[in-house]
Amino acid sequence: MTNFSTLFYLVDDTDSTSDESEYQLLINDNFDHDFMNTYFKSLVFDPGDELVKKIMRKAAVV
Amino acid sequence: LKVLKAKNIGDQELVQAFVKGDQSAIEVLINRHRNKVYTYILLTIKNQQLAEDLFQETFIKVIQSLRRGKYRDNGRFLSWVIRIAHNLIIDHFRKEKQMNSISNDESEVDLFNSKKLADQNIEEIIVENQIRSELRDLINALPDDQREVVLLRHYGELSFKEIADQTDVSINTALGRMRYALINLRKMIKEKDLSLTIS
Repeated sequence: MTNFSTLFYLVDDTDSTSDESEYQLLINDNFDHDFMNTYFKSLVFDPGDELVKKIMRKAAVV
Repeated sequence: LKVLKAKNIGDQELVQAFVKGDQSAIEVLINRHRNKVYTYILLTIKNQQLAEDLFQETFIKVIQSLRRGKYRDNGRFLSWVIRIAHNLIIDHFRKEKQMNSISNDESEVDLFNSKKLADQNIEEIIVENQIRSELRDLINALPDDQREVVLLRHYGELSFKEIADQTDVSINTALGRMRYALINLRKMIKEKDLSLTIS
């Protein structure tokens, strides 16, 4: 049985109300745990200080 | 709150300080999480002006909710904020009824609004710009339901149960979407032979 079919057999056969950590393990077993962090760590945008200042000004009057 | 002191204070304590009247506490919280929240919104709606509006709306709603005592702190402040942003995005699309009409052409971002970038030389900025552009293309190429799970998971740090609740699907469905998203991302990276890390 391939990893692919094994994963879905296990997921489909698992009680969805049980502890989520079981699912996390399944994901981590089949994918690099750091995949997203490795590739998407640099994909971050900064809204800038001015936008935060606007929020603070609005917050003072709402 | 003094800046140095604030850096060592957890979200929960800052929330409590704000609720008790310390206005500076919310500013520390916003600055702490602003990049993840803004990036989540921007990558979801693909429109910078709209992202800026919804970013403001999100934190105004956060502030109002905190003042009204609607936040039950369970140590998951960022996830709570992302869920508010997610709901505002859905509300926006429902009102506008134009979920598919937002153009990627409007998604250009001011890459020089970051102090970090301002401190780099132009060559580094160009390389980072190119990598981020390629990463955005990868995310945008995912089907909507897969992209939603990836963004909620990566930027919002939501658990799969929270993602399932938020998107009104089963945990198995949320997991399946994440799995297919990762398969697709890996496939695209391989096909395009992309080098997406900064050396």
